[in-house]
Amino acid sequence: MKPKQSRDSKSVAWKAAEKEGYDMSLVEGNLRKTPYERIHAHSRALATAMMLRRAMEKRHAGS
Amino acid sequence: MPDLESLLERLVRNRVAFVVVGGFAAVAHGVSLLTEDVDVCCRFTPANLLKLQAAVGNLHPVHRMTPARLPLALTPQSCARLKNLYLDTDYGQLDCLGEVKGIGGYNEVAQSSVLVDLPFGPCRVLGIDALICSKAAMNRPRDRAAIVQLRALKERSRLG
Repeated sequence: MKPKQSRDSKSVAWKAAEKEGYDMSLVEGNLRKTPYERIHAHSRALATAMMLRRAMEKRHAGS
Repeated sequence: MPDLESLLERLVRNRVAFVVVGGFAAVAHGVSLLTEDVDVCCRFTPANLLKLQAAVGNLHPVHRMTPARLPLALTPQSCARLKNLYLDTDYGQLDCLGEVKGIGGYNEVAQSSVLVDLPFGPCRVLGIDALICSKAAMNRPRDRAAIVQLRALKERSRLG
């Protein structure tokens, strides 16, 4: 069994990140993935974000 | 359309000596922040840079920091003068660094890296401690954001 100090300190940086407003459930989800799955998911997310950005730029150009 | 995964695959398949650093390394460790480029620390020898050029050769690579966006056209002679390469390609931005602030040159960076198995081959990624050091040395708002998550990830891996 781990000492109480270790159990308490486990959440320090995690809680600090949450306190700063980061959605750490996303990071938790990433931890369930392999490094390759993280890279793949990121690549897809970026492609989608760029597609949306271009669509928005096109919309602004047309208005 | 950006495809940073395929960009990485090309470097691995062409046996370029490199280590993934920066925001993309943070992604590999589990950080949830989106990054728009791949930063790699490369061995800046002519042979390695020519391999890199071959890897991205048909992706219309250009020097993104030059006003005229000159096409990438390395020669053994021109390689000798380079310290960094900031490229734009059909698959996205690729920044190739000769050294990483807070860590050092390619050899130091490689020593501070971990080997990750990807479907297209093994790939070196800067380890979490060195990544935190490098991001602390850069200290831009986006670096500070990544450090917050990297520290949480480091803590999680340390304590299980």
